[in-house]
Amino acid sequence: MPTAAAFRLREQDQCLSVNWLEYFDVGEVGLAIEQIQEIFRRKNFRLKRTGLFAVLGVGAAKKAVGEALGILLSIDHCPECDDPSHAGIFGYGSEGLAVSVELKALVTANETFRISNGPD
Amino acid sequence: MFESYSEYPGSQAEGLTLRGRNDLSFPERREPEEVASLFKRYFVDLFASNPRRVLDDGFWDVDWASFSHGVNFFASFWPPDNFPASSRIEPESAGIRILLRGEICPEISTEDLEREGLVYRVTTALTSVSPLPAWQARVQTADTPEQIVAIFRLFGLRGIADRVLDLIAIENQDPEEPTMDVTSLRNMALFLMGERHMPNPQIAVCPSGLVLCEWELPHNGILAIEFLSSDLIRFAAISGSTEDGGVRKRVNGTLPKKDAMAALQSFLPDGRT
Repeated sequence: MPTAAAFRLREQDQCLSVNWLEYFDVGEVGLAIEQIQEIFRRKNFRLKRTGLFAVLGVGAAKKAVGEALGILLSIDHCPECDDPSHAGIFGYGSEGLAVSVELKALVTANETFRISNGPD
Repeated sequence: MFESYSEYPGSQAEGLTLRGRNDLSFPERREPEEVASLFKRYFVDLFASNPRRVLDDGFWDVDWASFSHGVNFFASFWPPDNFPASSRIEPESAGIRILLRGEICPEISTEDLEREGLVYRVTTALTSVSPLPAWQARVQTADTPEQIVAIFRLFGLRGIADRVLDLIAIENQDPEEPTMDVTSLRNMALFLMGERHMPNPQIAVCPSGLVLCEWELPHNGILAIEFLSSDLIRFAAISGSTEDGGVRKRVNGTLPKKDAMAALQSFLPDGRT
């Protein structure tokens, strides 16, 4: 399982980069994640076999953080030319460890996916 | 090994009474060199402010049960290099034999020194009272992650040492990985060394390079602590789910360690792994 570090931001970050799975319209989450992995490889992101993709629901994330911390997150589609499903979680910054912990708390083992065909 | 003594100029010498610690013993049948080595290794914290804690930790790795006979011996004393030249310390077949001339070294009581044949019980050791346990000084002067890893190993925190080494390796293999902030790592080490009763956390490096520790609490609770480059720690915790679906407690903030620990009191996990 990822730690809250996976949801942390640097000072200069405007948002947490994520991907909008429904963009691919492939029905299954696993298939969408495979497409994202392919995009990441084309972007020369190093995907390690020990890495994980975690899937969160937009509504659940906004609700959890809003109710617990009173922070209104926005999760917006921010397509990039080489990553059309790219999106961002806006509304918190590098100091927002509590938000990161709330997001991490939403991650379940059933909703994490191992990276396929990556280096160790 | 106790170079730390000389690192505390002006500090007060004070007797540290160890009499009565008969729960600890030192084996007679060890070779002198080994005895000396053990002393050097396990008594680095002689000058700590909390000797009991240090002693417990120091003997953590020693399989005392395997010794058929020990002696009620305790000498938590190893002299610094600048120890008075008239004093002599010799390894003896039954342990460390400490030969002293008390009149020249008044900080050390010669009472009770010679006991039990070849074993010398030290009831008063030369200590240099310092607010900093020796490990703390070592961590604070560590310049590299590897040096901090070595301190973890020295004090038996192997799981943490291995994890930090893994993180170093990941960073070295992948230029896209964030560079671990050494000050943050140092602050993490100070925290974990001081809270050794807590179970080992998961350790990760945040995109900023700050080191984050995370503990799983019962019933899916979470405690995360991010170690800043200052003396502050950033923390956030969620208590576990309750059976009746009640509200989970939450706390977060950025505070000095002492205040953070007070805020986190009901969230802190216990138990050494």
